[in-house]
Amino acid sequence: MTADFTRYDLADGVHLHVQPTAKFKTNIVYVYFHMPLASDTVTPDALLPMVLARGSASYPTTAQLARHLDELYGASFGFDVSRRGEVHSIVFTLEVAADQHIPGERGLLKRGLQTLTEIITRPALEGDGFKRSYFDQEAVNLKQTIESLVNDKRRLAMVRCTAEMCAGEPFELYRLGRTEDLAQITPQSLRAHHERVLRSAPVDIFVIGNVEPEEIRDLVCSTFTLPEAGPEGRRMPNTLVKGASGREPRLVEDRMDVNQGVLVIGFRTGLTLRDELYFPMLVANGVLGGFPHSKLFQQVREKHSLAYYAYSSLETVKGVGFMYAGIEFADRERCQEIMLQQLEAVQKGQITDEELETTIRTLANDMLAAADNPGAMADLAVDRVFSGRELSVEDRVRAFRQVTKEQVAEAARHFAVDTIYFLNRKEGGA
Amino acid sequence: MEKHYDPLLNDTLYTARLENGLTVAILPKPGYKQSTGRIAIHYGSVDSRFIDPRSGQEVEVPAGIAHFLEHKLFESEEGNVSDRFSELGAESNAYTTYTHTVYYFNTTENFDEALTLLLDFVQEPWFTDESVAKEQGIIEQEIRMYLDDPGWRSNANLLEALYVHHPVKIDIAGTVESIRQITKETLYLCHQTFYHPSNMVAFVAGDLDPDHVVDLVQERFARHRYEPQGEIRRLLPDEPGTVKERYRTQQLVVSQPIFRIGFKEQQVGVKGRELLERDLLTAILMDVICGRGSALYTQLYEAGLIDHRFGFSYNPEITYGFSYFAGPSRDPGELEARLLDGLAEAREQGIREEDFLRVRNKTMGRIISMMNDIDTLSYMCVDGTFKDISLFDYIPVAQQLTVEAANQRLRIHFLPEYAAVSIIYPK
Repeated sequence: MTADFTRYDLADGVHLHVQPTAKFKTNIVYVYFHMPLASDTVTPDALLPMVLARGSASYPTTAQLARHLDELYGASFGFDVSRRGEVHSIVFTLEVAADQHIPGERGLLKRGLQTLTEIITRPALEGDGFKRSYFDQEAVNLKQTIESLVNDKRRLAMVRCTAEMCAGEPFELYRLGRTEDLAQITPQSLRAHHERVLRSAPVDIFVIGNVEPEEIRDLVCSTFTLPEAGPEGRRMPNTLVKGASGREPRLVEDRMDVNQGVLVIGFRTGLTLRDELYFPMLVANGVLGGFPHSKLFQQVREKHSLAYYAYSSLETVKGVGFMYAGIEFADRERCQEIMLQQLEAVQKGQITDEELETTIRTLANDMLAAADNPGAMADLAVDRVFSGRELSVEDRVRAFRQVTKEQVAEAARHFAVDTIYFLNRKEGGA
Repeated sequence: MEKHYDPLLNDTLYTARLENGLTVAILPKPGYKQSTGRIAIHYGSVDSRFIDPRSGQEVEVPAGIAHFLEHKLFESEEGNVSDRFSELGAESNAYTTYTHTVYYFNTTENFDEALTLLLDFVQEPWFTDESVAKEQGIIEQEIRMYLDDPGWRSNANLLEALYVHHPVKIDIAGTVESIRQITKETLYLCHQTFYHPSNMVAFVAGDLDPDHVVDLVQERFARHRYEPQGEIRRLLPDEPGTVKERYRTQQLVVSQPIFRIGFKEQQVGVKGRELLERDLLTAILMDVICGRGSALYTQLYEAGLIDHRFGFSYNPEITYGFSYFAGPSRDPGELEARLLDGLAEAREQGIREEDFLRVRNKTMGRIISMMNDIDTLSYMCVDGTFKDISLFDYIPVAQQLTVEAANQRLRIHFLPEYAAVSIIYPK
């Protein structure tokens, strides 16, 4: 058993990554199509997998497809659209029980992969478009799903802060797209978009399970057939990375009839997973607010009793970050001040040995633990696709352990507060 | 120590019962980098009335105290316990359910030290008036966060509608008012009563040696003296089979109505394999009747009454149980009517054997998949222990289920007279 993914280049821009492991009782497949995050494609990208999941040429109804998956011992099929930097990835997943755990079964992975390929490449069509009824229903469902962002106040606040901070950049787009685009999309235009995705998007396929890499390569080559790439080839989209704007932080407030306020402080890092300061930056976030031992949690929650949650997080392809907490409306200024003080402390290198060591330990633990979770393993492999750096888990753990306090402070000095967002209660509220 | 091997899962589970009454369960996961150590207490939010085993007196404590205690135990005389886990490279956390409390850590290093810390801190409460006051502020924000969470509110409202007296109708965290009544004295009393080894389970999973783990657990518990304590008498009010109210609605800032219908379990007091069998049968029935592969799902979906967020689940506990179907809907009234019609039709006709077998196979596959993830299997193992269900009961019980048993169950559950509906409307 090798400790890492074996990579095969199946065609220009089409890569297969296989991780053999005897640990799991299932085999798991992820297929990524990487599209540029752009206003004209963001909504079709989100709608496409929803329509594809409704039925395929051989299983034209949703119920037939669902029953077929059930018969493969509950094979789970799923899809999502993820946004990393200004790359919008359409992701399909499949998980099937490994044959050895099902008496008398053979070839579950093969049948699962055939079904996955069928869903992605051979949809249920009507003329030159997707089946009208499926298209119409999913367009409504997507609209409702986008609108339901308002149900999750914390996520809403993060999305709003991002959109304000990155206004005018592709990164302002919500990963599920915009409701106003839906009226312009037709079953035919979405079908044309499907072709564009199949022919232009770089593809990464990850297979994790008790498998032989060579066999998987042969299986994927014979099963997962994509149309030829267009004349432009399959190019990984770029992301615009910006550093500090130099302007004063902007305050943005939304008002809503809510029980708790959400404060989000958005900052630019200008640093990505391609930078030398990548590992110090992750440690800086860990010292600042990544964990319960971090400054934000210790100060905002444990010391001042202002919040139940208080954390920070980074987006390492775009180079932005956030500090956030759910608080009493009246505590906004106090909480903001404490958060900014914590950031300043990290930037000045006011970091105890304990804070540094604990953060590095926790990050190393997370990294090692990823090997026990197929989703986390795939995430790390995707990270590698984005960074272009061939770093193993051991390399990463080593890199974390070499980070010094000075480097952490240096990385944190790139964190430039840009937009302070507050989800406030409606005026006149109790 | 008892050893159980499951040939299908190819896993071995070790269990032991220590002299002080503590149950220990160990699941070796060869090749896993991460290990977990958990200590679970058979004490949840519903246990707010009980007989104090020392005084013999009946006691009633404020709602939300089990959850409050879970928060507070992390504070020790030497400082915050979760910081000490962090220093060991371990990530610690805890959660409280209606029926139990769990403290745990996950780590890739220093397992023995982390397990020692876990076993020690749950046995060493340290509360002060100041620290209780400080926690009230934090938990108040936790409660307020949930007040803005429509999914959580939808479920809470359903429980309030389904139950007349049973404390499951009260939020796990209690209310802003109830937690203000919590004092360090009541916390000590609850700790002393419920955190007794005979009321606890230690569970570990990872690439570990079972004998070594049992020795370590034994050693950490030997440092404290425990008087033998009989079963704790928990006082639950008599709960009728009927529901409190048919409808419960609330307005929140949401994009569209959120519908939830629940069916109240009529046969309470069951545990062990019988409870598990009922759990799996009910889950299979819900999937056959209303899963993605069903005619009813197709009809509701194509009518625009449900979307991919529609879901269902059965929650089997010893003292209560309910099943629910839930999701956002443009027309909750129409959805309710059509769902009830679909369930009535299924009840009259019974489900077909081929559908039953298809979903039973699916269930098997899903159980196998759950065994991949340390957090999931830990949850299943701990939750099962308090219901007399072993992690290795799932596969054999699932294999023995029949369509006849499913149809029998169908005739007594999902009856409209035991249903309540919770709807969140947009503000």
